[in-house]
Amino acid sequence: MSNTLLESSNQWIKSDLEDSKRTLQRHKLADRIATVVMSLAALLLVLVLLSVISILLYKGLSTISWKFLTSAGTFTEAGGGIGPQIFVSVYILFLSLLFTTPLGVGAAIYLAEYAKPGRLTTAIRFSTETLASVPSIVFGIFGAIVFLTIMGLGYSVLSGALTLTLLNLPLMVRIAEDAIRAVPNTYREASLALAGTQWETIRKIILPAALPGIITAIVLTGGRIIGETAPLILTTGTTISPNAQYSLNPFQTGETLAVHIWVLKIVGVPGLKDSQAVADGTAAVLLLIVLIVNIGAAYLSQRLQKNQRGAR
Amino acid sequence: MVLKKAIFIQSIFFTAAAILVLASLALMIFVGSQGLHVFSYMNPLEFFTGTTWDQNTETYGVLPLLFGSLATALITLVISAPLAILVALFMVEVASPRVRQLMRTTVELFASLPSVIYGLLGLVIVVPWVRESFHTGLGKGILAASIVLVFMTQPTMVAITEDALRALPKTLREGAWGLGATRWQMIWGVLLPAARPGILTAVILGMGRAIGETMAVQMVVGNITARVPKSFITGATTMPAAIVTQLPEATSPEHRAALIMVGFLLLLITFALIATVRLTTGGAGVRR
Amino acid sequence: MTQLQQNDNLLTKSLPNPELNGDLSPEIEARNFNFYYNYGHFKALNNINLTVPRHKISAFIGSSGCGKSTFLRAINRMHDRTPGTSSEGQLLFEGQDINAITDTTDLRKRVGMIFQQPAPFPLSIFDNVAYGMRLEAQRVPKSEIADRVEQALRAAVLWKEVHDKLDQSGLALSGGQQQRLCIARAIAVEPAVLLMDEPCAALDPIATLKIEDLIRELSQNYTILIVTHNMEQASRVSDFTAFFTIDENRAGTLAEYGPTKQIFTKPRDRRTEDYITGRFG
Repeated sequence: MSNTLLESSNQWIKSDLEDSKRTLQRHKLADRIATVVMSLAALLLVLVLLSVISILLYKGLSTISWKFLTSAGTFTEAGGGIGPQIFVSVYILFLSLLFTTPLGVGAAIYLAEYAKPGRLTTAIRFSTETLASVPSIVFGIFGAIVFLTIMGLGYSVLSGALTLTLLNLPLMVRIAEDAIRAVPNTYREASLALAGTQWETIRKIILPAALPGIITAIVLTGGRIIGETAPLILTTGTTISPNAQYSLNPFQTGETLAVHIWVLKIVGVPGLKDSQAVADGTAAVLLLIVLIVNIGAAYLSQRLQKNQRGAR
Repeated sequence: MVLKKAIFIQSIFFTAAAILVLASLALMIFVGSQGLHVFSYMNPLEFFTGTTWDQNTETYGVLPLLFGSLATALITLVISAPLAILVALFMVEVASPRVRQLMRTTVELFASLPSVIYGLLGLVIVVPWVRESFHTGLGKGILAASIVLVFMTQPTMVAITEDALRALPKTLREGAWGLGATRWQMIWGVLLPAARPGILTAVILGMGRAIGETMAVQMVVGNITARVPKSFITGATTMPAAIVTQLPEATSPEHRAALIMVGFLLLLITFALIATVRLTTGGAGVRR
Repeated sequence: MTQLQQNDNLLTKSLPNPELNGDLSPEIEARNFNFYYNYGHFKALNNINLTVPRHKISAFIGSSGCGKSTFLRAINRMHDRTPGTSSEGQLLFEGQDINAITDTTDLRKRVGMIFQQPAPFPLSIFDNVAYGMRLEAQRVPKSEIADRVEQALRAAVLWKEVHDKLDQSGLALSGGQQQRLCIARAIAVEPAVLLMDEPCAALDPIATLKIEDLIRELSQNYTILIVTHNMEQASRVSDFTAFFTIDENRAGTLAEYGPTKQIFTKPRDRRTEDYITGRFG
């Protein structure tokens, strides 16, 4: 009697153990599948990125040549280039940074060095965050209303640069403010204790120390400017006047590299024989510029971290 | 004397900061007032419930645009959110530090690609694929736009989700390990529920990004504004796409006002999404 | 009269304010001085009365949070940077009310400060020491700067170690050297007073002893106030010691002040005795 009881309870324990073993195996299997799935997701992104870069370079590199980069576009003949578009892109980049940098760094200095907690400071921060969340097309609309029409600047490089200034201001302020705040407080206190004024402290110690961070801010902002399209379509236009191809006149219409791609592919330039090749070449150029800017910014921020660690 | 100079310098910097405030106010005021101007030409009901947007007949019903934007955003989310969560989980829980850095670089590069390049690739790869797979039309439409947007929204969502996961206290993980959980059990049972506010933030902000995206969408969505699209593979439009297509050519004041009103609507929707984020998560670290 | 006898004279004359005689003219005086943080909500210092004599080393000791550093920083108006601070009573420098001064740069020309964390600027050694002299408040003619840099570095006992590498970054020096650089920087502008806020707290023992020697040398030409956590340091280095403690309302107050020898051998206040013998703090 007791034998069978012992046997059956043994069997019961055994099957219980086997059950737990099976559940454990199930969980382990689920874990392994999950790990594979997560890795595949990450792999997907990497592969897509690599394919994207490869496809663009494959399609476009063959079109790029010195002639392509320096000569003007044609209306019908094949073999035209994107020289003027590159010029306009650089011009808008330069003009826009010219406005954005002092405004952004100035506001950042105010926020980091002068502002006292209170409603005014809260309002400034709230405005910065608000501007940061506005879609770029709405900046384009604003630019079209205020710069184009009300201020009468028309479709122009200037209108575009001003619009992009507003668009990039929050980014510049944020990164510059971070860079300025990262300067150790001990420097400020030491300078003040030596009878330095606040402005002297900022000018002689803080800004030089924050410079790498501010330069990173400028580079990152520049990277964004190069890629912006919608606001420029609405404020700078989509054409370059043939007489004003390398003109420094800020009131002329213009077409940046990014806009040019859109014009070739969507708006279309009927009759242009190699419009697709030009579009592909432009895209490859744009991609290369973006990659270089990113590498530059990454290199700068690495140097920045090294310097800061050395300063402790 | 010294004091005067100090005050002068401070006021220069203050002016720079004040310009920020003025600019954001001006944006709201100008876009808002010029947009609302459309209601002097037509009544709001027609605008908000009309299913046809046709500049030739000066009929401006916003539903095709609104539907396009929302449908695109939703389909994008359905694919993009799980993908982003998986990638973020990989980065935080599975990857070695070197691989993690590689993934971060990858995600950042996705973020820095210009919109037109996404659009170009969409035209060259996605649209033909939709065309071949579904054997209808041109291939342009909400589906094509959503596929492109999946990759454009990855940076935002992955970054915020990664932050949310990393912010979870170590004790959470240690507790699960201590109980003998597998990694997936820990992730599914403990981490994801705990990171829900952050993940929600990521999803909502990703949606905002998708709704506000202009060029890439415009290049693959088909730009048919005349009616609410019947399927995801026929030509459609979204709010930003319609604006960038039509505003440069819009000559009649009614047309312009209607388009600006669409822009204002877009702005309000974006602000509503951000307000939702703040309210539901108490502003869980939104920095990107 | 030896130093010790002079100090003993002080002991017998009055408490807690050592009375003044010609040799011990006050540089800094606090009279019923109260200090508040957070718009009056937190009283950090309660009724401080003390006199810091000229060209002597006065140490402020006491456990953390007693307000020693707060008091020190009130002297060169460093609290101006912090919103919500205020004070009552008088804090005098050379007879003038410190809080009534409108242009603090004047004050800071005469009252220098050394911080706990050596903070040389990310500039060359030469430029560090010259920094103060190049400021608008100091207006030192360019031709004099190089000489005064050398003087200051010699006085800080750093010249021999750095004279051949003046263009190197100040950050490349060791901790002790950096602190001596900061001292050189402070004395290059020839202040009357040096405020030192735990100057050796971040340094190793050897560097600390070097700095203590330096402080004793400097006291021949400067009035020195030093806040320190280290009682042995206070007893080694200072001529006068003020012991701060926390009263019932968590405000810092002066328990006792007198010549160092007296404080450490025959403290008058029970709290001082407890602290010194290590019963708390």
